[in-house]
Amino acid sequence: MVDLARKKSPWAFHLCAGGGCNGCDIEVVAAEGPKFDPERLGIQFKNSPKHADVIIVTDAITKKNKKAFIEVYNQAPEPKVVVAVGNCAITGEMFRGLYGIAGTPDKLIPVDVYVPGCPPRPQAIIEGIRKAVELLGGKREK
Amino acid sequence: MGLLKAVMSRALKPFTKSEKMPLAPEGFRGKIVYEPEKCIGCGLCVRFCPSTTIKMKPNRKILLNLTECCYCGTCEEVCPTKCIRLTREYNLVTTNKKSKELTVE
Repeated sequence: MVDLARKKSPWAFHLCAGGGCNGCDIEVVAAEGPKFDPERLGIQFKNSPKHADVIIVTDAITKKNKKAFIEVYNQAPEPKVVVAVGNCAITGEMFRGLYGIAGTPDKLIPVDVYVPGCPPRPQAIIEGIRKAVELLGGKREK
Repeated sequence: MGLLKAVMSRALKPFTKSEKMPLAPEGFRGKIVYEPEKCIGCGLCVRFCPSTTIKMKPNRKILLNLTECCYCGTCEEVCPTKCIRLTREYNLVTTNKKSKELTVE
């Protein structure tokens, strides 16, 4: 019964790690609106990590933000999936190797789905969330 | 009426199963396509790439990674033989970031 709710109506939370141009954050906010409608697939965006099934991560991790990032990730209850949106969250793109960057998100937390693009289109972001929700069903059974 | 709809929704399949992917508009800068036969190895795209993802191989052809590219279009503009082009495709979702489909050479 709870599995049906997780599969049909996942709750998403957007977490920005800080090291990027924020273009991907704007595309995620555009994907929440009525033009590219995520509610058709049952996805709702919430404001708190304690309510999250799906965590959407953008931008590379900065040295200042490392500790807070891990604490916010730990506050989300199991089972959860992580979607890395944008090239900065995958390899750090233009910012790789620079003085303020402490790495990409998948060095600190396990990432399930990657959505490349700079920035990716909102349709691609919603497709990535949909694929992650299919993986979420497999995690509960374990 | 509301009760009838609630009961029917358990029996019928949902209308939307996945996101529709319409074609991107004309001039959209999407996935990169490279033709090594036309390339003359001049090195202009390597010099002008802002995210330094294009690299020159020992046989004077190029190698680039789609997760390090910023899709600016500069390499298409400066190429003298037009062997590198940006298409209108944007759906690159994957679960493996080291897959072969994300490198272009």
